[in-house]
Amino acid sequence: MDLQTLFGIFIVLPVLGAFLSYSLGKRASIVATAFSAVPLIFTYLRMGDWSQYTFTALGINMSFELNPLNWFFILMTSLTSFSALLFSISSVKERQNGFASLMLFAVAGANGVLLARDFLSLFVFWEIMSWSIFLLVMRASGESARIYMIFGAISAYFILFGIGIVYHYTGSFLYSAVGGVPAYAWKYLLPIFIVGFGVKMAMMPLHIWAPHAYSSEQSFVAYLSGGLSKLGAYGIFLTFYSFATVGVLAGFGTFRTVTIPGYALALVGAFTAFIGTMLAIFQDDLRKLLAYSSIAQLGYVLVGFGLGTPLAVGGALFHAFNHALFKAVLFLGSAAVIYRTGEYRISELGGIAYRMPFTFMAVLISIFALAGIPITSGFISKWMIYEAAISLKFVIVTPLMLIASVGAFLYSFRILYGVFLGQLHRRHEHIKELPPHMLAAMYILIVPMMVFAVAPGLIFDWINSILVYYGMNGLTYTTFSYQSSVGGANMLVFFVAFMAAFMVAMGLFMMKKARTVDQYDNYLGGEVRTDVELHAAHNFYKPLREVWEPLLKYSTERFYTRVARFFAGGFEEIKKVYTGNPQDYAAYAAMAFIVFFLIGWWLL
Amino acid sequence: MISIFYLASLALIAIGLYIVISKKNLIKIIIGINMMDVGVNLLLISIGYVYGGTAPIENANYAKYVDPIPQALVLTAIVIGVSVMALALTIVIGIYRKTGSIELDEILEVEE
Amino acid sequence: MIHPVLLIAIPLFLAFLTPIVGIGSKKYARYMAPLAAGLNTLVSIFVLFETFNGPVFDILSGFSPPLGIVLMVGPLGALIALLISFTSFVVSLNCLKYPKEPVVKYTMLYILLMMGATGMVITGDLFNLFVFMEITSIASYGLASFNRDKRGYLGAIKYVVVGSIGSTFVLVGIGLIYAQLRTLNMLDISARLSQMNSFTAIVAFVSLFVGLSVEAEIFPLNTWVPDAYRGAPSQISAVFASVAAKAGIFAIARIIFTIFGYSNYLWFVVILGMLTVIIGEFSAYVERDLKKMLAYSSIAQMGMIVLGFGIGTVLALQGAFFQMLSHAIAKAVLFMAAGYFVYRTGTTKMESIRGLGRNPLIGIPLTISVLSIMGLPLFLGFYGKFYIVLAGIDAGYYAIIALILLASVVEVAYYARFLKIVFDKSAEPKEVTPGDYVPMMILAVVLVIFGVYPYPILDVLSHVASFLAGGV
Repeated sequence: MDLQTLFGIFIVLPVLGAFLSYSLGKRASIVATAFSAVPLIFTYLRMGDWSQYTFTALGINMSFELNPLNWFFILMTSLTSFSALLFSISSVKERQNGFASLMLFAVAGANGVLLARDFLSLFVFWEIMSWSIFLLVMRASGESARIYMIFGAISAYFILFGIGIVYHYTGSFLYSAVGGVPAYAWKYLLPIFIVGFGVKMAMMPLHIWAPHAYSSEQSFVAYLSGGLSKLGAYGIFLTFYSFATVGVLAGFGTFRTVTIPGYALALVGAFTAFIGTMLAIFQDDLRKLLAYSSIAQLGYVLVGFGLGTPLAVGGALFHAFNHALFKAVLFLGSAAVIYRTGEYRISELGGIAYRMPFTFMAVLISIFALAGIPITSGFISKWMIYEAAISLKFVIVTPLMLIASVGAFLYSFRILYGVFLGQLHRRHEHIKELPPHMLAAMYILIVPMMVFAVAPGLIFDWINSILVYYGMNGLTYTTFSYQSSVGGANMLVFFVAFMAAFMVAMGLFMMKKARTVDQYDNYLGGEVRTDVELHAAHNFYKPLREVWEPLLKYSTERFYTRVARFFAGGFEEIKKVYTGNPQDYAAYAAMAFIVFFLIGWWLL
Repeated sequence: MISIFYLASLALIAIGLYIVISKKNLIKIIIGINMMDVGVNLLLISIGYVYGGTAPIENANYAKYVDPIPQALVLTAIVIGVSVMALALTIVIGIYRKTGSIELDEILEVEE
Repeated sequence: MIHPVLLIAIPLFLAFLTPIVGIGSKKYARYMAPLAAGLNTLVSIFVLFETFNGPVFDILSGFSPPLGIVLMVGPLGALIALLISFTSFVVSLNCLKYPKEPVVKYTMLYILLMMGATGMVITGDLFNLFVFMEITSIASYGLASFNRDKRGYLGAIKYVVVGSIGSTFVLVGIGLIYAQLRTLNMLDISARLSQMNSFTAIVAFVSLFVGLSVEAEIFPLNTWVPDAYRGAPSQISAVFASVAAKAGIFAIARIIFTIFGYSNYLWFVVILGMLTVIIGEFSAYVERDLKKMLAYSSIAQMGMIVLGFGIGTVLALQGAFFQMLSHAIAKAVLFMAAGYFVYRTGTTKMESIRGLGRNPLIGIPLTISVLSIMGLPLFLGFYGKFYIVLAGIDAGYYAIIALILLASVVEVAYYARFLKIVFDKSAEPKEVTPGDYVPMMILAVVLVIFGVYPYPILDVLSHVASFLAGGV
């Protein structure tokens, strides 16, 4: 494969598709799906075709490469983008407004970020991706888009500043030149890159854009959460294991064989997982629940990258892949519910499973993976990260992650119970199952999830090649199991045990003598109750909420709002420089002359 | 000797600037601007002045001429100054028509 | 060979032909502005190609320099001249849609403004620079008050006061230089600068710098900007931002690099640029008036350019020139859009423009120019910001660049708010005519084309190094 093919397939083709699909109106998504399928198939076929390319642009060499790491991430993003676009054929048919085109721009941007081998291309494509997301979010809500864009700009400018520092010390934009940055500069460079990339993966406390942005068009959010947020993870992986060498990281000091930056990252990740989960539990908005869940899940990835042992990093990469799959399915599920009912509040939904059983199945499997229930791929990846943390005896990180995992079960249960099970609302009696292509969009993602659940060895092949490529020890694994110092896991054993337990439980369930009643078939002793209060999902987890109430009043978002208001007040003061009185202005001119002159006299 | 002209021109500029900054009446402000113009013109003329020189017209009787270029510059500057002043006065007439006042503080009160 | 003097002669001729045409038909008089700007665009393209072989000198009135007046056009000057005439051309198309009575005077002043700005860029003579600056200023004063309402007059009087003080300073600076060197030719001054009393040289430099800062919108001489931009007709605000300001900043660049070459004064220029950016962005963030917001944003963008000049490396200067191009074009689009909004709603309040951009014919160019101003790639604005920031860090101005980036976040915040309001779903879009969207589309296409394929501009900007070293 040569540069033209690589560049053409991954960047030019989506851009062309974007222009083509814009002219097609309602059918735009069909074309866009086709255009996004090509990179996906191409990626899958080109596994192992690692190579590097350079061409000159802007007087600077722009370099691209295909290596195990970015191949892995491209596979992830292409898969989610393809399925999101496939889903959107029907779901955004009437409201195209450039949806498919912008999606393809985001695809091109993401591919460019992943393929880049120098900072210039990285930044260019990073920003292309950023503005396409901005415009996509704006279709739903201008305010959300504004919040997204502010954080997007913070992220971009941090990265730009980091690039500037690298350029200052090395005079080059190539990733490989970062080694020339002296050790003392890493003090600034490392936090800058972590913040820059961390914003994109909604790392606490830079996460508040996510619940806003994730409330927009859900089929796009499936790609945003599933695919694009992984670019942050990619960036942090690069920062830790490609830009900063082990020596640089260790230069900050170590804590139980983990470098201090790594430990800090793991702590941030654990807190992100914990707080994100806790916030997700109390959301009534399905989209926001999934958004906080998304924040929390990427916290695990941060923990894995922070711990830095092969097991942890491998687990984090695996978890990133898993998250891309199951979170995309969940957001598509949410899109499906919204598509059919127009409703996204959990308290207004219920019983959808009786009308949309296939959607329910897909969501159910993804929720198992999300909650890390055994025999799903999510279990393995989380287990790997736990094992890594346990074997390092980290007493803050590990419990936080374990609590977050329980919390994940709590909120995913709300999705199951509040949206899909329980009583069907009368308003939703008439709804139908999704059309086949939309189901296909979800099941495309379910299939790899199932395969990796039973045979994680297949994905360990890929992960191992990444670890080896970046100079780490590989994992020890077979097709169905992996070994670690703590024990590892054999999925076949798990599978058999779990299936047996499942059969028992199913048998018990079948023997039930319950009667299904209508939602309003209740005896309340004469009290008049509203529809909302009768709903099963109403005041769910009330005791838990009461425990948490005092802490919930501290909101990061309110903090940012307050900061913004404080700054705006300061800006008002600064603006008073422009008094509107020409005499003041004349006085400024006179003073300016004096000051400029004095400075000149002093300097020259 | 010429330094007197320099000082005078600087004084004119300073006085003009002071008028612009301190006086509230728009007409006076424009007079201030004009005084600055006059001061600069004086500066330019005195730059070109040669002590005891005559007008730069070719004549066998005189050996010393003043530098003609500043005079040309000043002519241009005067024209420009006049046109700026005319325009400024037009604007003041407009302001007076719209607000009924040429006192700056009164005008700015009704601005918003 | 095409003489650069045509860039001045054609518009001057057409400007004074306009009243004569106006006697016959008021309708045709309107077309003089696009005609003049279009011809100028063509001429500047030819001049630009000529300058690739070296700077072009055009001697006027028969005296050879340093005695006579000379026009001196380098590639960069030609590029800015092209920018000026091109944006004036496109904006004048928009002016056809919104004729201001009396049309003849409006058209004349418009052409003179463009001519003056072009002259400021291409002249090689210091006093000539002053004359062109005054032509630009006087035309601007007239146009700023052309709406003949209170806002227009008040904006114009502020402009007149600050502008007159500025021109006084410029003239003082010229006088001091002439007193010492007896020459007004820029290259001659530059060559013989060492003969000058250093104290006088500093006073002259500072006078020129302060005086030209008024046009170039450098803090604290940019105070007239918000009011004058708001009071002026929107198309004229566009011209102020993209034509007059660019001429002013290029003149300053010439003062700094071509004439004086004071490289140790540059860090102060960086500070000035930073203050301009920060105060501009912060004020724009809290401004609720659309046109004033754009004006403050314009100040901030000019500050970026000043910053680029102040950093004073090749990369920074390239960034500054990119920024000049992108800002001129994008801000022209935004002001034309503001003109459309004002025309449709009758006010410049932010809240009143809800949903007006939802017609894609307005919305797409608007979005493109906003994204370009935010400095996002695929649009021309990217290169300016990227190069300047990179060059700033490379030159070691860490804290200043960090502040600039903070200000850029603020900029993103208020432009995103602007887009949010413009694309608000609660209001219905209004009807759009070709007179509104065609000029905006043209400029937006330019932003995208050179954003994706900036090589022609980079070719021109490869001459930056010689400009930096004191060339033309």
